[in-house]
Amino acid sequence: MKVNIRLMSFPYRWFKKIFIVLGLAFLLFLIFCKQNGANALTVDSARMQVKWTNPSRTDSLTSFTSDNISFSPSNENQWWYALRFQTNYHYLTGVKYTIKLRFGAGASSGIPFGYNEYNTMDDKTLKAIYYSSSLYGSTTLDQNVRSEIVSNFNYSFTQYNQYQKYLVLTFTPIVDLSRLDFIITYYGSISSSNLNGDIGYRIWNNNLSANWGISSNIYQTKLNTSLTLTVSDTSSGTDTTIIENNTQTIIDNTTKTNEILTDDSVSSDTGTSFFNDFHEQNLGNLTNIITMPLQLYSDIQLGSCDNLTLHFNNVRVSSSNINKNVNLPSVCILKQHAQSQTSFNLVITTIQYLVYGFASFRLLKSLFNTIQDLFDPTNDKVEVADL
Amino acid sequence: MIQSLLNGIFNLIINLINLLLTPINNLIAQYLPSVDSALTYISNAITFVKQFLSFICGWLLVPQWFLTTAVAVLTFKYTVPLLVSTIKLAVKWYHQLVP
Repeated sequence: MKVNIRLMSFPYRWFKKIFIVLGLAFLLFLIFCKQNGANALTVDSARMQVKWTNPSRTDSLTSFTSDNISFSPSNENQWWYALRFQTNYHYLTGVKYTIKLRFGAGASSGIPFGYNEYNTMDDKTLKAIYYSSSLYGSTTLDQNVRSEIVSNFNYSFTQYNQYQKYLVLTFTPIVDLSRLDFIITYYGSISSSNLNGDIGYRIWNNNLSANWGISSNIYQTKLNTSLTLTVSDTSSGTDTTIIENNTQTIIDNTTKTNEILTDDSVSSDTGTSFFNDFHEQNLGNLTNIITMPLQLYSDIQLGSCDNLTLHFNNVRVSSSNINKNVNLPSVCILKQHAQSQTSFNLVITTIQYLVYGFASFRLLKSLFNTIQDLFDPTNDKVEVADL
Repeated sequence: MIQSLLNGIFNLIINLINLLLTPINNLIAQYLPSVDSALTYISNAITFVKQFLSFICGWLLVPQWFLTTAVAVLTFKYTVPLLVSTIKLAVKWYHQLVP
């Protein structure tokens, strides 16, 4: 029996055209930035990183709240802050640690931050903190909701396990520090440990190249609060335990999935939320990639007259303009102009009908050819059934 | 109506794919963190590009009716032939199995 199903061909040509259009749009954007900035668009490649999302693990062991941190330099918007704290903690080789920063309500928007570990407190090491930090990003926080910034402290100890480390957190002082928490989490588990620390802060001018870490006299230990954190996880810290814990997490997730699949209870829900709220679901990375074309269609449908606001971290649009939003006007400007100018509206409408009328003709022609192919026995790779 | 129908079908497909890929996502996140990081970067890049799309379609003056028609036609073109072929194959197997 010869069975050769003709599979659909993937529309590579369409994707090629889309990428060409996107490339041209990006070129126009660069020209726009060039014309609107005093200097050329410059990117500090050492600090430019893709914004991260979707932390893989969020199971925290414990946390401490630094409610008694408060300081207010006079010209605070001109300075970076860096909180340092000493951790007496048995960091294991090859274990991935995660630091959570949790900012409370009242925190302002646009918080660039970063952190890193270092072994000493000298200035030269501090200078490298900002640039070598594996986690640098910014986020927009809701004024009324307690938000979380989760960062990966992805440092692997290759030579030996270390007990004492200093962590430094850098951010701009637009955060209400009285509502700032630190949560340390990590893959696997460690038998017991503690996090002791002196919390201090250091301020630098935001002109990093001139003042970052050069002069030690600008360091101020205005805060000297002793914090003690006791990690109270009772499981052992062997590699086997780490694997067992990870496996147990997967088993739990699979059990939840099975419960969903075998749930035959009759619900009075009409199922509307299934369709309407899917955007709020946390789609996995694989799902996000595979279903990209479908999501593109949904996003186009949701397009409105909102301007395109882009926030590029560490992109210098002009000589004194860092980390500013770039606003690109939407097409509604054109439409508003067309409404007031009848002749201009006629031109726009004519172009629209000509271009997309022709495109629709080509589209429907290909559709009719497809339907004809369905009824053409000579063009059918599957043996026509004797109906 | 066609637009709502397409949106509903697409949302259904996205949810089903997400349900099927959840165990694989968990496995990758737990045991292959570097691969998970790579996938996160790709996913973030897609999210970054997506925000340009409606903006570009707006400036290209793409009408809503054309967008809906194009997606509907492409969906039909790439699904119906496969469905017809499957039905034909099933009927042929039926004829072979039933003397």
